[in-house]
Amino acid sequence: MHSTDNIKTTPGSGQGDPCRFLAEIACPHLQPVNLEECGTCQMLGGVSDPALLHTALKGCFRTIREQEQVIGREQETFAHDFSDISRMVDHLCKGDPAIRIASNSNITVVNRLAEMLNHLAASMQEMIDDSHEMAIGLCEHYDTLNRLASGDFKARASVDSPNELIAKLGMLINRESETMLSTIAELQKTDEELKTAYQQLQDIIEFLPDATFIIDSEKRIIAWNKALEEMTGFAKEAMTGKGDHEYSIPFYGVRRWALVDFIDDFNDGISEHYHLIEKKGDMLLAEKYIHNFRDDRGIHLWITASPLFDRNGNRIGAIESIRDITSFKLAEEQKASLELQLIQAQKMEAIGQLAGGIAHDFNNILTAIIGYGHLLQNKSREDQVAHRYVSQILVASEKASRLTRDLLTFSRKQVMNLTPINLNEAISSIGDMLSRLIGDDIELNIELQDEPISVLVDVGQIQQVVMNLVTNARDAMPEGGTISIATFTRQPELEPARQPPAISGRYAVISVSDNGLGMDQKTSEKIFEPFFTTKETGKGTGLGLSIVYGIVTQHNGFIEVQSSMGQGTTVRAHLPLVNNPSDKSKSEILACIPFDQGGTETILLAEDNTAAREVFKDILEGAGYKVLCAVDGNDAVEAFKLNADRIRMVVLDVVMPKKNGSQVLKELKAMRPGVKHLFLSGNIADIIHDKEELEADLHFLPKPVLPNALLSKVREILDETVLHPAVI
Amino acid sequence: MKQVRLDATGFKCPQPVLKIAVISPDMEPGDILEVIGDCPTFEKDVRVWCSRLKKTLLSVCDEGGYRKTIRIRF
Repeated sequence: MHSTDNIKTTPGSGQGDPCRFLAEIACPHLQPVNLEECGTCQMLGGVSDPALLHTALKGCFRTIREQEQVIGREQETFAHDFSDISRMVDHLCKGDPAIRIASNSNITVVNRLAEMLNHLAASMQEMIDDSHEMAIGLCEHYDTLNRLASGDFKARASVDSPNELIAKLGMLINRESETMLSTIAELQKTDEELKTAYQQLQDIIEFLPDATFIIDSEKRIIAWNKALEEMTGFAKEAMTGKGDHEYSIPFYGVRRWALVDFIDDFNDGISEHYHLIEKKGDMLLAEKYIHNFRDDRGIHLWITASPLFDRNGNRIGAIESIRDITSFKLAEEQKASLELQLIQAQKMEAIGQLAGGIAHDFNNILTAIIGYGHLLQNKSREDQVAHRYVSQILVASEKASRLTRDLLTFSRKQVMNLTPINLNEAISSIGDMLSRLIGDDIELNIELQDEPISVLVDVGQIQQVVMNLVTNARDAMPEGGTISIATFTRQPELEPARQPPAISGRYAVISVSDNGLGMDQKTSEKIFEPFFTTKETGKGTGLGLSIVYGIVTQHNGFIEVQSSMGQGTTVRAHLPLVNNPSDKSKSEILACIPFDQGGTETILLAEDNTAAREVFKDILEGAGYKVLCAVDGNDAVEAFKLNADRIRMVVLDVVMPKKNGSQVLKELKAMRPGVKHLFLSGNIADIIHDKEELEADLHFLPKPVLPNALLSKVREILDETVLHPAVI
Repeated sequence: MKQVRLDATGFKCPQPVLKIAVISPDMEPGDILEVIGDCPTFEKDVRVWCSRLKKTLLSVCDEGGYRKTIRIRF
């Protein structure tokens, strides 16, 4: 800066040369100048007056000072106006675009700057507003998505944002949420349907009558139904989720393979584990008997196992169903036993009928042989040889007669003398006889029930049953042993086939056991058949057990036989118990009392068998009676009509053509109530069906009839007091 | 009901409201959020956020120099 105060005329390069001096102070460069090149010097060239020069310089200095003042003021104005600019820039830099400044400065450049900054602030404001709108819009959408994610499917995004992207994003979110809502609704519906189906499946499995469990592909239990809980006692809660063959523990007590495990490993070795095994497609069927199931009882199981697949055919598990068929098996065994019993009973019935029929006819023949034998014996007393021959014939005939009686006993066609008795007494009374029967090398144990056992039986026949059984037991122990006789009462689980059940359902049992040879099943099925024997020829008739069978069944009882080869045999004869042992009305006492006496009365004899008729006629006439003969039922009725006034008694065969004995008697009684009569028959069953009517005055003689027995019986009947007034 | 304090000082808008948005899912209805910010547009952004998100702006405390404390009820 130049100042006149600073212009000093000091000696220098320009001393003595005014031009140079001026040039030096005027030259802004303040550098020594080349006068030839200095314009000032050239301008002032030639000025040599100092005063003039001084004045001129003063003028120059004044002008310079004035200019310096103007410049200073302008500098102050600029600084003032520029401070607003600076403040605004500061605000903008801090991110506050709200500030504005005036553009009324005298300084053009400041105004221009103000305008530019205001424009910049406005632009910033617009950008910030836009970015903030985007941020707020994002916040809104974030909130909407958050609500949707939280399950508020009714949440909707705002779509009216001025920011196009945010608005579009809102629409996109809403569209997706609608789609999601629809999908969720479908999923919920499907889920409900699945739940319903699953529940139904669970219910079906739960209430299946068969014990059932299901395992997944890892062999963990996923279903364990109620029937299985009841069968095993293992609760569903305890079993569900368990793996490692846990399902076998309730059945076998240990972890082991169950049928369900063999589905994928079906091999020959599986049959070792089951009594029966079968494979049908993917399914396995098996039968298993477990000896010590739960409370150590045996149980028969019918088991089925099948794999389970998903819709794509992938294996997802397996199901096993277990059915307790113990009762079924028992019923099957009982049914088989009953069928066997029925077949046996039918066979025995047929044999009995055959034996009875043969015995009946044989009795008629024996009646003639014995009758004429006795007559011939009386007539041949003079001829000793003939008399001996006839005696032998009669002895042989008597043996044949006993044989037919045994056959009739077997065929249950013998007359029974039923008496209410204590079974224990009946057996103990023959104890000594039994001891003598068995010999020294066999021990006899008799264990009778303490309480009396009341049965309605023919005592003699029941004692014969015991003796026959003991005899058989003895013969089964050639090396000696022990025979045990016991009595007790029991109620069989199942009534025997073809037998009327005991009234009380309970039976008296006579048990005869030995520890002898025993017998096989085939033999035990035949032991009651007549003439079946395992003894040596000549050592047994083969009728001992047949008689036992006949007697017991005639008493409405039945027999059980248990035998094992080498371990002995037990025979249990069952007889119905009676509730009132003193009821003697049920007793049938048909004993014959020999009474040898002849007479002169007229007797009507009705007998279809010629031989029998002739021998009876001869015996009766030989004793002094007058005999009218009839060959059948009708003939008997007609003969009675014609000779009713002189006939004192009728002797009737029970089985006759046209009318049987009881029918004939019925008609005769219509003509003459209380007519005296005597039935003859080899078969008591022939008259049993009419027993109710005949019981009051029944007289009967079994064939073959001995002459003395016939005469005694006839005399006895004729001498009976007649209670009916109409009787002559 | 709980109170949560969020310090958003030093963050330029719209960072504070974005932080409020992030924390809001953890807030239950009735909870109070106290936010501190120093951005010049902080208050304005929070007011807009409250209005749009249906939250209640309880108070604004101006502590000078753009620093403000705002309380919001969810």
